[in-house]
Amino acid sequence: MTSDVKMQNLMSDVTDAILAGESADGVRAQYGIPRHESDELTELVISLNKAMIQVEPSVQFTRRLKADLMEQNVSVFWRLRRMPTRVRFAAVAAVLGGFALLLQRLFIGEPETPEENTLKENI
Amino acid sequence: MFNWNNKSKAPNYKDMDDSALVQAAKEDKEAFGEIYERYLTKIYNYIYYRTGNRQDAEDLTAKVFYRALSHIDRYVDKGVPFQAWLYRIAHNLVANFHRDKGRRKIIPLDDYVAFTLKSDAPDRQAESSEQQEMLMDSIRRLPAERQQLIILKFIEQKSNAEIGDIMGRTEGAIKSLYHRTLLSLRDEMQLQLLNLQTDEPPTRKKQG
Repeated sequence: MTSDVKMQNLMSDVTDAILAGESADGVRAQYGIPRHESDELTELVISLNKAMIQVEPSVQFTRRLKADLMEQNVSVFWRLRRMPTRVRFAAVAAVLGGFALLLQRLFIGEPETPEENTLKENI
Repeated sequence: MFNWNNKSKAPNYKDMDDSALVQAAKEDKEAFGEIYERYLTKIYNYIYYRTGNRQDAEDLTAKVFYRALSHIDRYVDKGVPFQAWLYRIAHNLVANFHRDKGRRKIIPLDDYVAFTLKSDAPDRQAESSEQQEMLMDSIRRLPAERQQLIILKFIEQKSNAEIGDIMGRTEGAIKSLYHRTLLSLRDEMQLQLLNLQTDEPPTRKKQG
């Protein structure tokens, strides 16, 4: 009985030959393995080579997906990471400032205008 | 600054190797477009042969590229071919697909024959449709990594060394896995033939 490693090498080389459009007979002769031991697997490789055919995605799908990908908006954080450090600090400061203003309005209330003060005094 | 639409100054991405292209894609969407052109058909074929259906292959292929686009800035080159990363995304999505749907779809015979007839390789004509369907069915019964090996070998026509790089194994391990895969396929085909002859529903052996 032929060793596993020898059979592995044989089937690998047989497959390479079949994929290259050549006959497997030459390869099989080189290994000196009785034909009947590799006949079934060689037939299987030939069938696989016939059955496994590259399929092409449709042109419509290919174009649509590419267009969608190219228009896809990347996340704010992705953009932020690519900004220069100064701009990044400025952006973070602006966001924090905005939050601070919001919190101030929520908890302290809006500052009174001079008109409102005058109105209160008259009442 | 991130380059969004500056096509006139875009470098020639077609000539770049994968490593440089991926680095460029972190900054420029046009470079990602070239990655898309380079790998769309490969990923589509991988998914098509794993799902057996054009519609599912399109949906999952789209997901692979959306995920790649959103994660490419975190991609780290560890010396493994970039396509291994794409195949891993595809593998995970296909695994989720099968898990969620709880199914292993079979290529409808008409669909499969239509594809083989449309093929631009007339010398590789189909043998009997029944046998082909049986073979495709047997392939989809294999464990995921064996399916991947068969697809990379017969569709991509990659060498054992290249397949090893993509699958994270040595060349020797790929040879061994390939031989075991052929033996499993042969056994599965024989089992199906036997079941056809006895007209019983197929029973499947567990494969590791």
